[in-house]
Formats: sequence, structure tokens, C-alpha cells
Amino acid sequence: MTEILRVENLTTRLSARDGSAAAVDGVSFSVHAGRTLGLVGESGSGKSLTCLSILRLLPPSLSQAGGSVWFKGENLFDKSPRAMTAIRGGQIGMILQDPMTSINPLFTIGNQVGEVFRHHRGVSGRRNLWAKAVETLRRVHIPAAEERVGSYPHQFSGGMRQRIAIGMNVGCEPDLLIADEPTTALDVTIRLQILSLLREIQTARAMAMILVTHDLHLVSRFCDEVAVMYGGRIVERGPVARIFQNPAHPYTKGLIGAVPKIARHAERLAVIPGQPPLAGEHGAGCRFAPRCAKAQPRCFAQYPDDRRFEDDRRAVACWDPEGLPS
Amino acid sequence: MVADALSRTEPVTSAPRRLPSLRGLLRRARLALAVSILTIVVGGALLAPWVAPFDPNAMDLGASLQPPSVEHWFGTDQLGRDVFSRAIVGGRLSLLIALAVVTLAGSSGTLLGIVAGYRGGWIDGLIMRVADIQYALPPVILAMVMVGAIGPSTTNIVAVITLANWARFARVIRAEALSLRHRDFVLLARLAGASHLRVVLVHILPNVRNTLLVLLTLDLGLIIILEATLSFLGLGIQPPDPSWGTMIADGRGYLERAWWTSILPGCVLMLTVLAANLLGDSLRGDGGAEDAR
Amino acid sequence: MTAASNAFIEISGLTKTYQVRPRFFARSRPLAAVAGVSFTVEEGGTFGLVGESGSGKSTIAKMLMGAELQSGGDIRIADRRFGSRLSAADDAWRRRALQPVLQDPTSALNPRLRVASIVAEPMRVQRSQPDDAAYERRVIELLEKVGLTASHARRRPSELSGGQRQRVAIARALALEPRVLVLDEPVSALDVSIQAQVLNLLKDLQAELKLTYLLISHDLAVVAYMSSRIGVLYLGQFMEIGDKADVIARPAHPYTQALIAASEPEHAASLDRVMGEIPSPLAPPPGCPFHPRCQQAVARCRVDKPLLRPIGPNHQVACHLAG
Repeated sequence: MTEILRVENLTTRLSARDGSAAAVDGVSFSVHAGRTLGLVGESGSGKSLTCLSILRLLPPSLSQAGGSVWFKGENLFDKSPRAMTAIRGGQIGMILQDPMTSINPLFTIGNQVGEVFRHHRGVSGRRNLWAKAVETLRRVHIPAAEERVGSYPHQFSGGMRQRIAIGMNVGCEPDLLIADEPTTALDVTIRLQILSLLREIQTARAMAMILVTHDLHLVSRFCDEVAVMYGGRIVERGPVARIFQNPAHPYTKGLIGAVPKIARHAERLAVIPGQPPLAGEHGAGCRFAPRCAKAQPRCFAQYPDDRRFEDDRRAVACWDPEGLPS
Repeated sequence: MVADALSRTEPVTSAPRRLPSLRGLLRRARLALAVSILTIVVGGALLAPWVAPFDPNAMDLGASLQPPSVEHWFGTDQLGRDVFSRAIVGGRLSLLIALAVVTLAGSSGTLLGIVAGYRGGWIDGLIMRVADIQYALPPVILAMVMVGAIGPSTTNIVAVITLANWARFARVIRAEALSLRHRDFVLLARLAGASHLRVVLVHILPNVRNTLLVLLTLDLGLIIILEATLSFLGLGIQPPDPSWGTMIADGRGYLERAWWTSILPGCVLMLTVLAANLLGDSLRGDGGAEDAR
Repeated sequence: MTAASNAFIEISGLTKTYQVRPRFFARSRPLAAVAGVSFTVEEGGTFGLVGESGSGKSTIAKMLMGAELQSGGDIRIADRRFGSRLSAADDAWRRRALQPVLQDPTSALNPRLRVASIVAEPMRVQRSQPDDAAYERRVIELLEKVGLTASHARRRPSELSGGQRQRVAIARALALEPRVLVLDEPVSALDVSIQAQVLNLLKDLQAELKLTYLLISHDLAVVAYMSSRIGVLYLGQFMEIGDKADVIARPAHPYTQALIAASEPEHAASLDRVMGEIPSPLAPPPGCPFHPRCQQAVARCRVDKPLLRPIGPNHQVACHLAG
């Protein structure tokens, strides 16, 4: 399995507040060709900031602090801004919750999809670009692609726009696709269609994918690996099936218990008390300690190191993880 | 998700002490500058009889068109009157008019804007069409017609400038009220049985307060300039009462020989307007930050 | 319908039709947001309305609360009729007895007011307390009831987290001792761990205060967790309605089956249960409204509109193929 992306000790600080803790704090993971990593967390957990940091798309009020991002053996943090522009949209695609952030309402779909090929693939000529656009729309299963390629974004539904955004981002056959809550704004029945489409494209090209989401159901169906973020840190990561079966971190366990399930119906949902911390606002110890039923004094004093287990395929950052041979 | 993540970085319960950034310092310095200029001008205007070193209308033809000196800070005009004293007293009338207009135009514009935005329907259409007509009418022409019909007086100037300025308030406030009307808290208040008056007083007005404050300060500058323009054209304050506009007008015949008679009152006017705008800008910045929280 | 005598809310043949202009110069056309919906909610029970965008679920809530007037059909709450002609007494009764909790607590709370004033507003408007001290006492009592403390009363909404804001909205809804809460997507704006807290709080309050709930959500798992009966809406009509146990364990309508698969895709055998997109309610398909997206559709589904028919004691479905 080829490693496409390796993030090492990524740390992002909110520069607006000097001396505050990092909003993304020592995050490490890797993604392999043809595999999907689910990045799970609640608002303020740093999952979106992690993706923006990887692509070096951070707003000016935030500053990069450290770590490295190895994409196909090269550190993205060493690249020039110009080289990054070529990588984004070319070798790394990004899909956001609202497709309209990547689609301009004033131009036809054909124009915009064609533009991607002109910019990243050097395709020229109106007819060639148009043909590429039609091909792209077909690939994301937009019905009557030849007719609809001349339409404007507002003439498409939300699900169709997300398909178009996907088409624009995978048109150049990227090695990595980062999808940040790609289906959160869509209707339930449309969500699966979009995720099936992503999986279909992924399988065809052995593309690596990061799926950022708060929806554990989607993770368990569509991801191979999962990294659970809390308070800017990855608290647990490993293969999806193992983690859902046997969560080691109390937060992962609490999160899984807090999701209502249709079939296995409980009289009461298990609850994680308290509120998630705000980005970058926590003490030196485990971020989850204030909400953790098992917290001990040392949990507040010192952040636990990653403990690896199950042949190094899983890692958990907890002083007293569940179900682990100690 | 991105916006969400960023907005959640704002302090919610306990904001940690942060060191002031350079930009923050600059903003604070700008606000301090604006406030001190306005304090000096307004204070001078209020205390004019005690502050002014000379009687602003006392002529001394023997000492006409004297350049600025220790005795006459701003020099004297063609009739030998002290320009500094006249600028102070002139500011008094100019600011009084501006204040009256801002109050009248602000309150009527706000009222009409809220009615239009909150009520909607044909009333909204009517108010906004009248506002459009007002926009299309240059205030100077309006003033010429009105002053020609009923004669120049301080009351008339206030009336004319109010007529020329209410529509801007009405438009901006209408847009705010329109978006507030669709917020859930308005729906909930209505469902609880709250009257329209209560909804406007409790839910709409407090939420347009910041916008209104910014508009008021920004408009202050525009109104001072409009009054000066009218006075300059002889449609405003009548001689011998000084106003910044009439002083600039009176001095323009002597610009080559005695620049101070026009330029220095003009500088006072400019500084005042600038300070009002700076204040408005600062308030706008702060108001924005408050809303984002 | 269960014509049970303890039906607290009884809705029959409810419709709402809007006249809309699809384009500026086009002639206005009728849009049936709700097309003949009937259900009952028993006292102390929870009826869950589940549906996607355009299903008409929020329109039903608005008509129930009196924010919109129905185009046809009957709304009865505690044997009072709510239609176009409404007695002042009934209207006043509904304002107290029925309270909404909406999706977005940020929009539901006036940012300029303190929590105390927000919670007290319905009581102040209805003048339900004798003096200021009584209002204050009641506000603190309500805040404690929803898991907040007296110290929250002085805060502004911006100083609260999303979950705390929704708790304030619930406290406010409880201020006039209502009999019914209309919960319109009460947790969909909240984080997963906070959702569970709020859902459990709603369950506790229901048991403690004998409240009747109408719960509206796009999330079948939330509806299943909270409700005793469930109605599945599609384009303004019920596809399936019945006791929770029946609808969840033995879903008879292909759309219900698809919703279950979409809600928990990890258990679904196939992901492509539903084809295409929700049709525009301006041009609803002939026959069964769901047929263009249904994999099991046969010729009859395209022309003949299925009506709700019983397939169990408390279970009805609008599908030719079911049962």
C-alpha cells in the first residue's frame, strides 16, 4: 500500500491570542492510496483546521506553528506558494460542505469545469474544454450532461452542485481528496448517493481520501481508518471496524454511545456530560478530563502519550484506556 | 464547517487576557483623536461666549485683513473681525443645526425604516418610493426652491437638510428590520402574543442600535458640509451671524491677499467632519466585533 | 387512524397550498406543501414527523402553532377547533398550551437580551406573574429545570454554548406551563455529544410535566428514539404511519426502508436504494409521489396514486406493493 500523505506533529496556533494553546496540537496520521481516513470530531475539535493546515489555506488570523506534511515524499511546508497553488486542485482536491464556495454563480458549469482542465492540465481550445466538461459531468452521473453543461449553478439542486464540485476536484485525477463535511447540508437520501459516487471514483483511481465528518454512521460505512479528534488532538486512531467494536478512549466510547440508533433502541442515551472545549482553550492535561468519568489527578496534570497496540495498527492517547492489556 | 470552526475560536465565557496588537493600538489612537477633536470643537462652541477672545461681530476696519498673529490667532477678515472668534461662534450654529438635523432625520428615518421593513407590503413600497424620489433630488436645488418660497432662516435650513437626509436612515434601517423580522425570536415573540409595538421596541430597535449609531456619526459630517454649502451659497445662515460656510464664502474674494479668512475656518470644518467620520468608523469596527461574538 | 378517545391533538385532512410564481413572468401555480395529512397524538405521547426537505413537516408545525393558516382540513387540540375562524379564548389558550422549540437557538434568542428577559418574555406578555420578584423566581426555577443555574440568567446568548442556548429556548417554552411542545428539529444544530444531552432532557421533562410532543426531524434515529408513533412524510403526504415498533422494525414502504438505510448505512445491504432527487413540489409526479425514485415501482405506481391503508392494527402505508 502506497502512503500518499503523512502528517507529522502538525501544530497550528491561533495567532490572535498570544500564549494560548494550539488549536491543532501535535496531530499525526497517514493516508494510503485507495483508502479513506475518517476525521471525526465535534465543532472546535480542530478537524477542519487540520485540513486547512495541510493545504496551507489558513486564514491570515491564524499562523502555522510547526510539524510537517509529507505528500508523496515531499514536505508541503517547504513548497513555494506558487507550487502549492498547482498542487491544490491538481494533485490534491478539496470538497467543502457548501459546494457554492467552489462554484462561481456567474459562469456556466461548462465554463468552470473546463477552466480546471485549462489551468491544471493545459487543455486548450473551446471545443476541447467543453468536451472535457461534458465528460466530467457524465463521470459524476449528472443526467443529460450535454444539455446541462451550459446551465448556471442556480439551475442545479444542492446534490447536483455537490456532484459538480466533486467533478471539478477529481477531474485532474488527484492522488488525495479531502472532503470536509461533504454531505452535511444534503438530504438524507442524497447523502448516500454522493458518498457512493466518491467511493466509485476512489476505487477507479486508487485515490486516497480524508473524510471529515461528525457523523459516525458515515464513518463506519465509508472509511477504512478513523482518527477521533478532541480539543485539537487525535485521541484515538485505527481501523474503523476495530474502533467501533472496541473503543479504547473514553471519549470515543461516549461518542458512540451518544448517537441514537434506530434498531437497537435504548431507553436512554448514554451522555457525555459538559461542553466540548473551545479551540485552543484548555489546560496542560488531557482535554477530555473535565468531562471524563474516569479522570484521575494525573489526567489533569499531563497529556498522555500515544499508546500503540494491536500490532501498532491502533493508537490511543489515554492514561487508562479501556480493554487494553497493560 | 470552516466558518464554524473559526467562529468557535471566539471567547465565550472567559476571554484570556491578550496583549494589544499594533492594529488594536492604532484603532484606539484613532478613536481617541476623533473624540478629542470633537470635544474641543463642541466644547468651544458651547462655551463660545467665554472662550472667544473677541466679540465675533465687532468690526475694526483699521485692523482689517491682518495675518494670523499672537493677538489674532486666525488673523482678521475684511471688516477687521477676529476670525478665530468667528470660527468658534460659527461652529456653535453649525453644530447646533447638525445636531438638530441628525436628531430629526435620524428619528424620522429610523421610524419610517422600521415601519417599512417590519410591516412590508404596500406601506414599504410607498415609503421606499418616496425615499427614491428624495434621493433623486439634489439637496441644493431642494434648498433653493424652499428658501426661495419661504425665505432663509435657521428653522428652514434644519427643515431642508432633514428632508435631504432622512432617506438614508430609512433605507439602511429598513434593510436591517427586514432581516430581523425573519429571525426566529420575532416569530416566537409573536407566537407568545407580543404586540407589534413590543416586538419593535424589544426585538427590532435594540438590534439596529449599533447601525444607527454609526449612521448618525457618519451623517454628522455630511450634514455639516451640506449646511456649510448652503450658507456658502447664501441660502443658509444669514450675515452678520457667522457660520463656517458664510465665513468661507466671505473670504473667497480675498484669497490671494488674505488666505486665512477662508482657509482657516475651512480647516476647522474639515477637522470636525474628519473626526466625526473617524468616530463613525471606529464605532462600526467595534459594533461588528460585538455582533460576531 | 386510531380514533382513541385520549387523542389530545387530532389532525384530519390538513392541507396547505401556496400560490407561487416559478419565474418572474410566469403565471402563479399552486404548490401543495401539505396535501391531506391526518394523525392523532395522544396526551403525554410523542408523535414523530420525519421527512426530507420539501416534505411539508415544518409547514404542519406552523399551522399547528397558528403561525400559518391551513388551506383545508381540521386541527383539534384538546377538543378545541383551530381554523380560519378562531375565538379569542381559543387563540389565547393555544398561545399558552402550545409552545415551539425551533432548530436554531442562535436565531431564536434575541442577542441583545439577557437570558432572564428571554425566558420571562412569554410570561411578561401574558402577565402571568404578579410582580418582578415572582418573574425572577420563576425564571430561576425554569433554568434549573433545564439543567442551567441562576448564574446563567444574567448572561447574554453570545456567552452561552449551542447546547446551553437550546436549553434556554426550552426553559422559555416551559414558562407558561404548556401542554404541548412542538419540537422543530430541536437538536440538528447541535454537536453529537450535546444532542444526546438535550434529547434526554426532553424525555425527562416529558415524564415530569406530562407533556405531549410533536417532534419534527429529518433524522430517523432521533425520531425513533423519542417517539411512540411515527409518520413518514414525502412531498406533503404520509407514506407510512404507525407505532414506532411497526415502522422501525417492519417498514412497509420503500421510502421508509430507504430512510432507515440512509440513517444507518453501516447496516444497509445496498446503498443505491433511492434513485434521483426529490421532485419539485410544483410539479409532483402523477401516481405515487415516490415512484420516480422507487426501485420497486411497477406500471400501476405511475398512474394510480396509492392511499393509506391499514396493514396492521396501528400501522398504515400508502404503497400498492406493501403488505
